[in-house]
Amino acid sequence: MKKNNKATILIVDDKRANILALENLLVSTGRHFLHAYGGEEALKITLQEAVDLIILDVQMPDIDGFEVAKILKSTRRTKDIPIIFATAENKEHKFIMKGYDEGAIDYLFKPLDPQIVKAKVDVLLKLHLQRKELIEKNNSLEKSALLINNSADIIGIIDAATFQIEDINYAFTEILGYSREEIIQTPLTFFLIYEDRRLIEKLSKEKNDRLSFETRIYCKNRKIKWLHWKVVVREGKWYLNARDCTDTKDVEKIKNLLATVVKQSNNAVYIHDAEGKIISWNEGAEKIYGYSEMEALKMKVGNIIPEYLQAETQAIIIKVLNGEKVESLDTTRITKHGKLLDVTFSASILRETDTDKFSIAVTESDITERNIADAQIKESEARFRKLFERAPYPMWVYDIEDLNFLEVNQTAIGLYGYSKKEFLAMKITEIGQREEISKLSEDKNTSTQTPAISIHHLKNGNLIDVEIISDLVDFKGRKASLVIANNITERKKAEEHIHRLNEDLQVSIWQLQATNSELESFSYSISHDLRAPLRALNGYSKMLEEDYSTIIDAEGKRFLSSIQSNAVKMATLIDNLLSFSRLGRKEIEKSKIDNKNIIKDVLKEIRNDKNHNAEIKIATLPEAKADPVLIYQVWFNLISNAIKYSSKKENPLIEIGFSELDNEVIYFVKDNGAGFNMNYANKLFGVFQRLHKTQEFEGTGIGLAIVHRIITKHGGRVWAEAQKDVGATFYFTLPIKN
Amino acid sequence: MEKKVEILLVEDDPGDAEIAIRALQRNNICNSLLHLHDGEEALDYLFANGIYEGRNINDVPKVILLDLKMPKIDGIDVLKKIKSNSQTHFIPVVLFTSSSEEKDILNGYKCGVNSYIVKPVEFDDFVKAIAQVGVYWLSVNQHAK
Repeated sequence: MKKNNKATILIVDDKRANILALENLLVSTGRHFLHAYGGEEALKITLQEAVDLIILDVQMPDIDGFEVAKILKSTRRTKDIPIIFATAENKEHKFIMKGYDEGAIDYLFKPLDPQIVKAKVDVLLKLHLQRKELIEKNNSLEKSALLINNSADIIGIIDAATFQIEDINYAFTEILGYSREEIIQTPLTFFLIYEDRRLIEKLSKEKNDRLSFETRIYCKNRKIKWLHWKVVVREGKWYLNARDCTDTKDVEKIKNLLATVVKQSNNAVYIHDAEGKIISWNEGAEKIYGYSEMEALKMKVGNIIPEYLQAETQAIIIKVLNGEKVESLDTTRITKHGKLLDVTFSASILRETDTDKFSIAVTESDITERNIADAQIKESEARFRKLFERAPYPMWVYDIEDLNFLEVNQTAIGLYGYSKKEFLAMKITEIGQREEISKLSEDKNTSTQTPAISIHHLKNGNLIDVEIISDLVDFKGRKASLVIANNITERKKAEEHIHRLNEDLQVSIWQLQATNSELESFSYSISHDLRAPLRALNGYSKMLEEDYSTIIDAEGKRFLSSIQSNAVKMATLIDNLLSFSRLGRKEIEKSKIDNKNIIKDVLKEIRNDKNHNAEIKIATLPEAKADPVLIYQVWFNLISNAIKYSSKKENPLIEIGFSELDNEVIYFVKDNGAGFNMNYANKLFGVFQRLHKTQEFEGTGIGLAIVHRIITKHGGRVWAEAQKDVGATFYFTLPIKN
Repeated sequence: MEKKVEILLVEDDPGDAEIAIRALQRNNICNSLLHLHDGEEALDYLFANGIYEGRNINDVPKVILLDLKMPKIDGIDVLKKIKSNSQTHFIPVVLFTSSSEEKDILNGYKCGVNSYIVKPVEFDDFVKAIAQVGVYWLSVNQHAK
C-alpha cells in the first residue's frame, strides 16, 4: 500500500478525451490517477508505480489491451492488479471471453454508463485493496511465526484453568526433549515436579494479568531443569514465555553451599581489607576468637594478633598483598579473653574485578589441641617404652618379614640368657619351634588375640613352656610384631599335676561305683541267700517238733522253740539291714510336708500295732520341705522309741516340739523314760548299736541309724540328750533353705 | 503210666522244696506235683527237650511255682520263655521267692507273672502261704483249656 494510503488507478487509452472523461467520473478523495496513451507506456508505468487498478482500452495503436494484460499477468509484480477492459467495438461474446482469459476482471462498454462504471470501479478497487492488505498481514504473521519458532525461549499458550498446552514452540522440544505430540493438549503441570505444580495452581487463583515465577520441570530423560516463566494472562489463556535457567540456578546453589560451608566451618575464615579492617567473619572465627560477627566487623585484624607478633604478621600481609600465597604457617593468635592460641595460618589476596580494590582472605585453625595431643603421644610413647623395659614379662619386637629381633626387654634377657646384643643379632626362630614360627608368618596379618602356647629354647639349652600374645605394630617404619611371652613352665607342671590328680579321682570314682554296685548285688544276694537257710532252720525244727513230739521231752521242745525264734530274729535283722542299705541308695524327693498330719498318721499306726498309755503333747509344728515318706519314718522311729522306752514308767509323757533358728528348724521328741548314760551317746546312731538289752526293751538297733541316715541326707543334724532313768530327748534339724 | 502233673515246682533249694511239698501234702494237693531243680530243667520239661524228649507237650501243669534265684537259668528267664510261647503262655505262673525287692516284684509282673509270693521265714506262715496258693490255683481258679 502506498505511503499516502491512496488507491492508484491507471487509465490507459489512446484518446485523451476518454481518459479525462473517466477521471472526471471516478475522481474522489483517496484516489490518485495515472495516465498512459498506449500499451507500452502503460507497462512502463506499472513497473515504476504501485498500481491498484487498471482501466485498459482494448483497441490501441501499439500493443492492444489484451496483449498488455497478458504481459501484466505474467509478471509477478503486476499479476494481481485487477484490470477492467473498456471497449466499444468488440461486444461479441467470443471477444469478451478472450479478455477474461487474459486476466480481466471486468468489462466496461462504450459509451460508458457513468453509474455502472463508478460502481464497478468502487467494488473492484475495494476488493483489491482488501486482498492486498490480507497478503501484507499474512506476510507479517509468517515472520512472527518464524521468530517464535526460532526462539531459544519457550513460547506458548495454555489454558488458564486446565493448564492444557494449546500451542507451544519448538524450544520446548529443544530444551526438554518431548515431541510435539506428547506436549499438545497435555497439561503443563504434568511435566512439573510436585511442589511446583502447587505453585502454579496457587498463582492461577491469584488472577494477576502478569506472572513471573520459576519452576522445576522434568525433561524426557527424567532430568530436572529450572525454567523462568513470564506469563500474560488474557481471556482464560496464559501466553507464556519460559527461559531455561538451570545453569544459573546450579551456580547459585553451589555459591550458597560454599557460603554455608564457610559460614559453618570450624576453622576461622575471615576477610580484611588492605588497612586491616575486618569485613567478613565466620562462625568458626567467632568460636575460636570469642568475638561475635558484629564485634569483629568493627575491629582490625591486629586485635587478634599478640603484640610481639604484630611486626612479623605485618610483613606476612605485605607478602600476600604482593600476590604471594601463604599456606599452613604455624603461628599464635590471642582471643577476646586474652588467651593465646596456636593456629595454622593461610592467606591469599582477593581482587575485585570491577574496581581496583583488594582484600585478604584468611583461614586459621586452632591447633592447640593437636599440639597437646602430639605432646601426649610423645609422653605415652615414653611411658610405653618404660613399661616395655620394666615389664615383668619377657617382651620383644621382631620384623615379620625377616624375623629378626628388633627390640627386647630386660625380663627377656634375664629369662633367655642372651645379652641384648646377642638377641638383636638373632632371628626369633632361634628361640622358638620352627613349625610355630612358620605358622606365625603365614598369618602375619593377624594378631593373636588368644594366647598361643609354645615351647622355647633358652641359651643354656633348657626348654620352657610359654604363653604368647602378639600384636602387629609399626616399628620405625617396619612391619613388626610385638610379643609378650609368659613363662608358664611352673604353671604347666602344676596343671599336669592337677590333671593327674583328676585322673586318679576319676579312677577312684569308678572304683567307688564298682564297689557300690558290688555292694548292691551283695545285699541283694543277702536278702535271697541268707533267708533260705533260716527258713530251713525254722522249718526243719518245726517239722522235727511235729513229727517227733512223742520222743522229744519238754526241754528238747524248748530248745527247738529257741532255734525257731532265733531264726525269725535273724530274718528280722536281715530285713532291717536291707531297708537301711536301701535307704543309702535312695534319692530323696523333697516336697512341702505337713508334720502335724504326718505325726497323726504315725500315732495311728503305732496304736494299731500296740497299745500304750503314754500321754503325748504335740506343739503346732511348722511346714517343712522334705521327703514325706522318709520323714514319716523318722517320726515313726523316734516316737515309737519314746513310747517303748517310757512304757515302764507309771505316767509316760512324750513331748514333741520345735524351735526355729535362722536357717534351720530344730525338732525334738522328749520322753520321761529309761534314758541312757550320756557316755554312750556316740553309739546311739550306729547300725545295730543298742544301749539296752533285748530282754529289757526289744529291738534290733537299726531305727536310730535310719533316722540318722535320713536326716543327714536332708542336710540336717541329729543328736540326743538323756539322763539315765529320767528320760531322753532326740533332736533333729531340717534346713529352711531349698 | 505217668500220672498227670498238676503242680510244677521249680526250686533249687532242697529245704524250701521239702517244706513246700510238706505244706502241700498237708492240704492233700501234692499227689500230682513234680519238683524240678533249676530253670533249665523246667524249660526242658515244658518244651519236651533233653531228658524229657518225647513227652506230650500238650500235657501242661495247672500251675507253676517258680523260684526266682536259681543256678543256670533263673526264674525271670523261665517266666519270659513261658509267657512268650503260644503253647505255654496261658499256664499260670506264681513266683515264689525270698526277695521282697520292689525291683524284682515289678520285673516279675512286667514279664507277665500271675502271682508274686514272698516266702515267709516262719514255718507256719510259709505253710499257710503255699497252701493258699495251691488251693487257689488248683481248685478256685478256672483254667484255660
